[in-house]
Amino acid sequence: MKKMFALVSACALALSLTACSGGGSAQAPNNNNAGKGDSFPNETITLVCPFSAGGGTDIGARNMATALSADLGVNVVVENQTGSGGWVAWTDLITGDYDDGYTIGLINHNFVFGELDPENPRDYNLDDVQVLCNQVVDYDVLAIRANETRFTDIDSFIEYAKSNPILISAQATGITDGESTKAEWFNKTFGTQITVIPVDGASDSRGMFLAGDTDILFGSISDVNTAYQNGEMKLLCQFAEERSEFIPEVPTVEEATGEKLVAFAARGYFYPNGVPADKVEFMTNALLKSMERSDYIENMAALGLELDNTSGEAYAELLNSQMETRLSIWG
Amino acid sequence: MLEYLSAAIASFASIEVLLALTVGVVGGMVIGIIPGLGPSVGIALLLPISFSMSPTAALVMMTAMYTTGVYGGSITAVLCHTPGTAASAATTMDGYELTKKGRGMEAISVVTVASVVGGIIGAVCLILFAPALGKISLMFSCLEYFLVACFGLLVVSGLTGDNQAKGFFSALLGLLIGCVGMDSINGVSRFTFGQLWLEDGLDSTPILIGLFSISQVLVLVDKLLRGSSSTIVDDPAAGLKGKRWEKGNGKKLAPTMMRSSVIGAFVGFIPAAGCSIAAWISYSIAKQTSKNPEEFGKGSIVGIAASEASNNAACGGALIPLFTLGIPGSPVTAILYGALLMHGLQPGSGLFTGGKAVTTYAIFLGFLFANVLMGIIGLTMAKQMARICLVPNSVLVPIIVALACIGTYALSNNMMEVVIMLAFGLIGYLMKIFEFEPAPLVLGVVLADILESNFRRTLIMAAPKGGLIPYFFSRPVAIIIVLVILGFALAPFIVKAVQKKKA
Repeated sequence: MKKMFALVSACALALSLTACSGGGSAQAPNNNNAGKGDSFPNETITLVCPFSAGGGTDIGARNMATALSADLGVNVVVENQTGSGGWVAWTDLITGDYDDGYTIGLINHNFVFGELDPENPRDYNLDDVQVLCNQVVDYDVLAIRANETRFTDIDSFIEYAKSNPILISAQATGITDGESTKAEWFNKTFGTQITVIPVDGASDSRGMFLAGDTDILFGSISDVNTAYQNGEMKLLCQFAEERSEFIPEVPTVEEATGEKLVAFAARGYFYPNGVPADKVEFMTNALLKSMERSDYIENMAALGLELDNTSGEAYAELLNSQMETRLSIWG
Repeated sequence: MLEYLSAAIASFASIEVLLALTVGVVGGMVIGIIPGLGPSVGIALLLPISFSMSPTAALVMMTAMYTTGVYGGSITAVLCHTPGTAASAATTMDGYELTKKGRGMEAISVVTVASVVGGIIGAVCLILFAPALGKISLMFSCLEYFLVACFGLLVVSGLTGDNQAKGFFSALLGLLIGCVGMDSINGVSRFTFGQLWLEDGLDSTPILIGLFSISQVLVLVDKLLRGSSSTIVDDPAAGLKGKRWEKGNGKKLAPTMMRSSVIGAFVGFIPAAGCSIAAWISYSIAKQTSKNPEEFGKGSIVGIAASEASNNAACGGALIPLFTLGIPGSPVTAILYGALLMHGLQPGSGLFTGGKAVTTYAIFLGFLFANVLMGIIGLTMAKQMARICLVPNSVLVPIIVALACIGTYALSNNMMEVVIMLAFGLIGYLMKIFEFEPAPLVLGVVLADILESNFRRTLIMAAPKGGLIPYFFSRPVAIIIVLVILGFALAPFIVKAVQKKKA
């Protein structure tokens, strides 16, 4: 009996320890670099990912944590604090006491457009954070199924969509959502009749599209590239300034139709406003340096993501860049 | 496919893969046993560890943890009335009754054998038919998800307890609780009172832990205070009764296990339906076709076998749309999807031909082996595990409560989840006193969002096709599901009428 109890409690203890440490077991830190150069980080650094484990943002953050940990010689862990499309984590980071620079947040476009959300207007915008640097830029594309017969290129699609209802899926129906914004832009610019079905995530969108429940797919290059290369989807256009190196044969929407729309997702890192300027500078440089590591570049390339290292003011501008477009589209 | 399979077997000669398999199996069982920590938390913890591993080893480890995590959750469901996930809730009803009678070891054995059979059948479906079944899963869309969820809710509310009205009330209460949070179509916040943490609604896991474990803990404490019993087993002096495996069990359980496995694999591969609906549907079919339906809920091993075979088969089924289409139907498979991407395995037809096919089939084989290994460990440990219920409640209760708190906190690093769990523990205790069943409430919470959002999506999709009714008649799968539901709901009445005529 006593043995049993000892076993159970030992098990419990061991497990709670794994549970506590597991979330952060990003890679054993190599301590060679500790103590050399600037002494800023000497404790564990936390990257707060506002989305769930296994998502694109999370995997990007984990790659970054590994690289950063190897560079700085301290543990870097990813903590997933999910909820309300990221706003639980963002609100906590902005309102809480995280001024010591050991907690870094992840930021994306959802943050920028949060204050425009008609149902749940958010209280914070880019003025409430100090952005450090970007990590990834992922341009959007318009995809159709490989066996689609009703339309084969952008012109025939627009022609078809003018007189027939078209269904797409998106994660929200308003200005905060990139897919809905593109649908609205098509409707306003070309007089198409695109209706949006709200779904929970990008993978739901792909499922409904493959099943034929929706007619076209607005997705990002990283989402659709494999299916495109396998011949399961065709890409009609990309919403980029110039053609992406991943899909150089697909025209931009401007080349295809003469009308310009740039749409992309960008995600990177930020500090709360209270973190002192020297730490902001230190961490920005540390992140930029980590992004030059060859193992990091290799791992990120496997994900099919376009790397980007815009930092500081320029990164804030990048995040803000689609604001005007969206405001004008939605009037 | 055969050449891929033989090449895939070769990859199990590597120490790394074997080690990963063992870690996945053992880790999954352990993490499943802790209330609150289910396969999804476990796999999320493995993500960073698997970073530097080969794709085969990493994914074998994670898929192994998926199936064994569901199994581990059933062990505690049987022994301490603490299901790890909603998928094990159906097992609780009969398993815990057996444990109370001192037959915990037998219950664990049945759970193990049924889980292994279910898991193997799920894995075989995955290996042999994945690409074909993947195409079939595309025939299911919002309308079908809605109907399958309706079926699940109908089954569980009509099934549990002696009073069906109370069952339906619990289910409706669950649906109401499931309404809390941001509505997933328009983004309107409901019942959130301006609280940010409520916007995503109440997670079903803390509710499950509260209603099942904490309420049971309160019952145990109550007994302890009144001095009527100090262990889970009614008669601790008699020790563990029952053999590991009664003669004739195999023959008795085989048909149920086979049927439930097939149901599980099939329901599992419908995205969004998942293990819990599969378990309940199998359980209720087993009850309806049983010659002794009155045994169900009072310690029927057939009932245990039905839900257990089904929920593990559903794991294999759920991997089908994930690997063939990149559609994760549940939180667990969503994390696996991320893991696949991380290791450069983009789901789709590309995984089944060419260079990546060997890795894919090695992962599937690993999943198969994981189920076997899980069975070996489970059966060896059955006696030791069953002895948990001989531990005095004064020792066991604090451990369960502590683990439940850690587990729920770990879900989203949020103390509110723990508060919700404890609150539902109290609610569950009151429900026990007034003889309301907790299972329909939990399933109501789990299914509320699936039901509502898919129905509303269906309405949007049906609009350009002439409205809901013409749309419905254009979808053969939906018609079949409705017929099954009708048959299921009406069968008892028809049987009664026929019997009356005969008499």
